[in-house]
Amino acid sequence: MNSPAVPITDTYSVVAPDRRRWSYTLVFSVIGTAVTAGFVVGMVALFAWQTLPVLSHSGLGYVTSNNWHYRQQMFGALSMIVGTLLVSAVALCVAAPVGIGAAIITSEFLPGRARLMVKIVIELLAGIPSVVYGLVGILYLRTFVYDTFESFDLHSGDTILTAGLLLAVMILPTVMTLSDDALRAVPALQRQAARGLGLSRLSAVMHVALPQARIGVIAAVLLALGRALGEAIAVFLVVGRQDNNLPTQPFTLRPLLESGQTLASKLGGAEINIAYGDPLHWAAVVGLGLMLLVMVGTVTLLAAALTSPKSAASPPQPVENAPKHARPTKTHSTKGTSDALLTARLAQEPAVTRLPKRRKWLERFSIGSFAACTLLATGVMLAMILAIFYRGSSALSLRFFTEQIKLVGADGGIFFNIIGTLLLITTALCVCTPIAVAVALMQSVYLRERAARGLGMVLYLLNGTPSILFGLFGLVVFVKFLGWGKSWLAGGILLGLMMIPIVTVALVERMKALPKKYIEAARGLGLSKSQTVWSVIIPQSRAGLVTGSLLGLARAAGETAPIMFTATIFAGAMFPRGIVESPVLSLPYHIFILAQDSFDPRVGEKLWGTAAALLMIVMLLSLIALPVRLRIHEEAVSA
Amino acid sequence: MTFGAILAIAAPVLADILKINGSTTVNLPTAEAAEILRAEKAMTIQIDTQGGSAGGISALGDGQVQIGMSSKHITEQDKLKYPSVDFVETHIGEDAVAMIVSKDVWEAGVRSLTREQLADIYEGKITNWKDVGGADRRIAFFNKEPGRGTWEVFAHFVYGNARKAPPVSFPEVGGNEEARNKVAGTRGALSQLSSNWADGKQVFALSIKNDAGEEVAPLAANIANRKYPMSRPLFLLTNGAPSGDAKVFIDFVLSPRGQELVRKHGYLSLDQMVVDGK
Repeated sequence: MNSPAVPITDTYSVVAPDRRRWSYTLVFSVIGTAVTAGFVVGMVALFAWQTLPVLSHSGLGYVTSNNWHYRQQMFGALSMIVGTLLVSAVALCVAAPVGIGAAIITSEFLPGRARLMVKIVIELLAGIPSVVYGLVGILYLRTFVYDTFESFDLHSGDTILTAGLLLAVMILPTVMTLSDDALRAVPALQRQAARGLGLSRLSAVMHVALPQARIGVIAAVLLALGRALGEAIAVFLVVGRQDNNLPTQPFTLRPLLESGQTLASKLGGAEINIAYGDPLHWAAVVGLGLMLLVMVGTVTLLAAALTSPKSAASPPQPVENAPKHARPTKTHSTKGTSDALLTARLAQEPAVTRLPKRRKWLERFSIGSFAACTLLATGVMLAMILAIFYRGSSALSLRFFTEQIKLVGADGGIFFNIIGTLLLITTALCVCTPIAVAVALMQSVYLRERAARGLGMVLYLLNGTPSILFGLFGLVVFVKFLGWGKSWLAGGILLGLMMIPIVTVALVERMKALPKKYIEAARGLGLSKSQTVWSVIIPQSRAGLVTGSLLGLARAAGETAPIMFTATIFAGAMFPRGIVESPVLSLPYHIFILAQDSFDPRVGEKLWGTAAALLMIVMLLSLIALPVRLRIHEEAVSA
Repeated sequence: MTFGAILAIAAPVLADILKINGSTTVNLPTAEAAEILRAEKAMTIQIDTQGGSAGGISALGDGQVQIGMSSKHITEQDKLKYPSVDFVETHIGEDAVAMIVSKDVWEAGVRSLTREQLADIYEGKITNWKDVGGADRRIAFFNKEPGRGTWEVFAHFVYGNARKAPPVSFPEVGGNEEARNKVAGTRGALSQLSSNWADGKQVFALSIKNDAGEEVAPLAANIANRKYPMSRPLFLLTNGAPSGDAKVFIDFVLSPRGQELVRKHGYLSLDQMVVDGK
């Protein structure tokens, strides 16, 4: 799906504030920041404005009534709101315990190398495009749910539960990676002190590390929730898309075993095309987007507020709510080599060497179940990748990559789909890079703490915005208002905007890690702020730019939702010759369409082959970024 | 092949792009015709299937495409929505919408449904196959999503007019493969689907029992003489009489080679349709 969000933590001015003077660098930085903030504000304003007609038509009933029948001009979206919440709840109930359990293992129990391996697997899992998840969901998960719950007399295998389980796998990397980061941020000293006081390894984790990391863990779960709420493509393929199916038997399993519809899955469907041109219907559709934006925005901002430096129980602060027996750690929480040595020695010689038998079993059981979580998470990932390559391998040949589509996908290859996807992500990179550099400079060089935090919130919000909403925005602005029709440029711009937070955060992390003395040396040499930026800060942070861009590109390459209404078609596009009415083919859209519409058994093989090809591109990008990214990230987290 | 592809791209740089959008049903022969014309006449043709027939009509109405693909007639509402567009329908073939069922339903002996039974199932009055001669199993009905030509044909048959169809709540299916796949994988499943997708192995096409008690299967002969009630014309739509590249394209689809493609994908070509004075 998406690369896990990196929480935007505190920023500080890399360069000491000096006489504020306008320079080209500052202007560049201001423009980039204005574009980013303007896009976020503009999208909210546009959606709100376009929603007005349905509010005056249906009033509050738009959100409180359960009757969506567009032919009868009835628009009550309640069942979609409920469906969204149910699907996300299922996803969280599965992903949160598994993800946190696995994070406890990776951060607390695994030796360095094994931890790295697991992290790599999870990073790759995070990179699998949602349309590929959807494909796997159609073929395996739907049947699994249908057979498992046969005694409930299911209508079909497309249920809220199916969608929720699929989402659980999709958000698992976010929960796991961010929880792992939060746990790693708790100083080792504190665990050692706890161990020294006789706590078992597990108790040290459960009573010291986890309570201290709880804010970070909650934020991780909230961010994952944001992703779950907004996922359109994968849910679309397995939720059944049944309108107005409000649960009638709450507090049973029944509502989860029915088909349903979510806000995002509705936006991924055919009604979008029908609605445009009818102001009321269109308003009702855009209103769904607005509701989704409000829901995801609230969750995301909550997570951002929690992790902002002021409220977070960040590592150096004393423990406040730790259980009583952990309290003495306070006395050891001062920094100093001698203390470290002392606690390290204490850790080697636990005061209590024997646990009562029952405790011991409980402890083993807990660690065992956490380990099972880790195995489950990594196992699911590897199984998915193997399944895709296994099923797609028969299609993979040189011809497959060099020929164009024939026979509506049953023959030929995906040459122009690859070209289209490459063109889209190259454009996205060109759009994103200058903006991300400008925003990162604004964030770490020009803004003071409070304003920087505000900008961080904007990035947070942008990062959390469901990709289907980029598509909706692009449809209104580029396709219709600017009259571009479907255009590669529109798709490239939208994907570029989506990438901004990922690249910016990677850059800012790197800028923060710059040794102060570099800047001081530059200042000492009499360099101006702009000169310092271009000759020291940017060159020194380019690793952040490169890895951030690669990760952003990996995400952009696999996205379907932003481009399906704005940039790609199924067949016939080659190299675009202009901007207006110049669509391209693409890999994710190809999979999305063939998953629903293939007339020939041969399509199946090509479909999986396309998924394998897309996966290869995405994973190649993630893998190149991985070593540097992990190093930078570890430095930033444990700094 | 890469080299060939690049040459193929270089050639039509000056030509206009012919854009087509609409029904997934019409798409099959159309897309193959486009492949032939791209190769033989170096035409640049872009095809998409967003939103089914309704998507084709609105894309043509909005001027985004030169040809819309539709498996239903243009309605008065369409004309009202796009008053400046002169919709012209070119009939390229005929297709039947079948009520398809999963294997277990077929094997339990359900072979036909009447119009009244279809209405009752659609309105939720009949929810078990045992009420229509099958086994005791819940009817898992998948409704074709709004805007699809298939749904319009079904609603027109059952209610006389698609607008008279009551609002219902069922899981919806979009593309033909999605419908086929879901019916094949669900016990007690029923859905509306283009009849040629019923393979007789995993999904089976029911006959329609008419008022005379006669079971009419969606076979070529019954479609041609319009005895089978849920058949539909396949159209290529243009704004005004076809001209330029659109005319070249439509002429090709109407030519013997184009009509062969229509037959190849399981539809009836125009010469197979009995001219019964209708």
